[in-house]
Amino acid sequence: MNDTIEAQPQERKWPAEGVSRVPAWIYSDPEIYARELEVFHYGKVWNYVGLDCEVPEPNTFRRSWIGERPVIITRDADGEIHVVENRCAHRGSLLCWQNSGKAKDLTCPYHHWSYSLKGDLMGLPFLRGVQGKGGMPRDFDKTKNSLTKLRVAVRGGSIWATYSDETPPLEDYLGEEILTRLDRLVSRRPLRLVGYSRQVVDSNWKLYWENSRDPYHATLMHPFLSTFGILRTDGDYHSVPLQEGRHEYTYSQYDPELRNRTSEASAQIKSIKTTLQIQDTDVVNSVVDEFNDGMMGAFQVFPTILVQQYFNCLVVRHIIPKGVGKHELVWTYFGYADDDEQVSELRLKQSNLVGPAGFVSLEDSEVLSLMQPVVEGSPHALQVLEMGGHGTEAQSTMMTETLIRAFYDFYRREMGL
Amino acid sequence: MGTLASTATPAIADRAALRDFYEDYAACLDAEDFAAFPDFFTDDTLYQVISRENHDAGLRHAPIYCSSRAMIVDRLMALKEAALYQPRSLRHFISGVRITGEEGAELHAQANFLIVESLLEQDPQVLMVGRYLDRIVRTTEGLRFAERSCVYDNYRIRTTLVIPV
Amino acid sequence: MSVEWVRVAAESDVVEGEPFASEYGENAIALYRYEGTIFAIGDICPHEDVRLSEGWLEGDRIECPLHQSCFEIRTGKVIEGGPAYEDVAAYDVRVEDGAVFVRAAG
Repeated sequence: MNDTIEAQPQERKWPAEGVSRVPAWIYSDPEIYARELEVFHYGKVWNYVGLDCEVPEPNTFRRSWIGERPVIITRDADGEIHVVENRCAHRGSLLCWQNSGKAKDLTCPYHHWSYSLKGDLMGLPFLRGVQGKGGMPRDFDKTKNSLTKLRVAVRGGSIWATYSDETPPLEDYLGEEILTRLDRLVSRRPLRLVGYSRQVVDSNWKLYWENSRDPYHATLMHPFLSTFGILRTDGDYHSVPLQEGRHEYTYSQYDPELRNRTSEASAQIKSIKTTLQIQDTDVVNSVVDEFNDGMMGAFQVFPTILVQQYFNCLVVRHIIPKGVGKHELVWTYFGYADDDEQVSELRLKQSNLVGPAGFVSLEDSEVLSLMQPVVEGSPHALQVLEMGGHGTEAQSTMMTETLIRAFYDFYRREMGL
Repeated sequence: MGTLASTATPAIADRAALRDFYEDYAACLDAEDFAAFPDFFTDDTLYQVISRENHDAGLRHAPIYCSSRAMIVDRLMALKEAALYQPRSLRHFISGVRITGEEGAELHAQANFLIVESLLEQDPQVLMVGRYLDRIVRTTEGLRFAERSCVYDNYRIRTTLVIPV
Repeated sequence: MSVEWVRVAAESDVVEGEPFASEYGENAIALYRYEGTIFAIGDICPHEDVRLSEGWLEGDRIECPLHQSCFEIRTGKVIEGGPAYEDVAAYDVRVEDGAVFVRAAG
């Protein structure tokens, strides 16, 4: 296919096989990437931007990102949360340089235009000039030069923003299944910020998006999972696409006896080494079942986050595209304001599992950063997604790519591909 | 600031001995000698690799968090037996070793680190730069870290953090 | 702070419609003549470090040159709408023998 030199750029056409094939150009074509940002991040979606414990009190702010646009989350003097672009309405300079802090207003370092935490332009230097000279024209209207303000929705301790007036209410956008799972983690008790890990990965953001919809790879590429009985191919596992592929969730009932059982499936996986023993078993066990349901699971809210719980390690993975071949992963670890020392320590210990140095996640960024140059080298090559058939329905197994197919079903409709 | 400079002779170790200890530690990691690495720590050590962002904000999360020597042993076993990563060469450069205080049987010290990573088909790159903040004790076997906090200045970790810092 | 009366201007310095900048000890102040009477208020905007007297005087209000926070020249009170939240100080004023004296308000 790559033997012929094409005189004209090929029109982007999805392969005839449908969603069981993915063309590699979707990971490297800058025009596709630009369209994704317009259609998704800047379009009719709710973007996760942060947690309310990151702006813990009135007159605080924290920076975040929506697509490639920097934004600021603010909590004003009345406690209300706002999301505004971190871009001065005057000349487009980066308004807020500090990552987080306390402030009563936001003043641009360049020409000192000053905005309220709601994003309204309050004043600008020398509006009336100096000694009768210079200054803004008489018809300059401060109210028409506010920061770009986004629509904001808060659900429990999570903060969301959208550029579009047409985005349905957040509750409808998320749907019952996601709401239940989100509320379980962020709406029952006030949140406490445990900290961040930030990671930059040289791959298209969708490769990570697919990776977290891919239970098939989990026990193969992350041998730690099966070795220490956290997840195993013969365990209880469900892969459920939602809203025709837009979101998804997976869950499993944690079984502490799983590691001690051998079975046909585990025998097939060479990576399982039953002789290995971990000394500090707090890291790989449900010591405190804080939700009283024995559940472990993950869910994705398109297009920004994967929320995954391993035991007491609670973390939001925020995927921020940084150009067609690069993305940033912001891992925001959280707990609850009333956590005792035992649970706080467990959260810290179990966070060794996931993150840039995580026992069950470090392989992901390794494989994806090595994959990106390969997909760029063969843009017309096709990826095969037939594990679990050709459909996009929910399946009760890890051995399926149904969630990725469901995603591309959704993606093609939205992108017109 | 350096209250115990070279003029005073600290009871636990002098700067030259400390320097040797740090160089041995760096050589151990450069050689990926995972079997020897836990021996630099006491049994109830705190070994963590934490971002300056979290450290300065008083946030406790650390991408590598080991609250005992056993957890260090576990991490190294997991890397060796249950993790997949590209082969790499690391070089640790440690400078500015300073003794910052002494408290009972413990020495407080710090140093700068720079880690350069070389991967297949790529030019070497700075993996991480930051400071070691240490509490060190003398045991019958020699100096040991009662605490080593590796506070990295990088805002983001590039790709992964595999080998301890 | 001293509660002594301090001479800060000649009476003729302070004219209707023009702020007059002066100092009271270490404090920057501004004098205003409004409908014949002289008033003295703090001259540094509580929002950012700038002299209000370099701003725009309109009626009984002085507007900060930087971000348009407004203050009443007779009382120092901030008027809502700008980025400043706090009032500036108002001083007692006495005119005697062609000179203006102020002291911190008791």
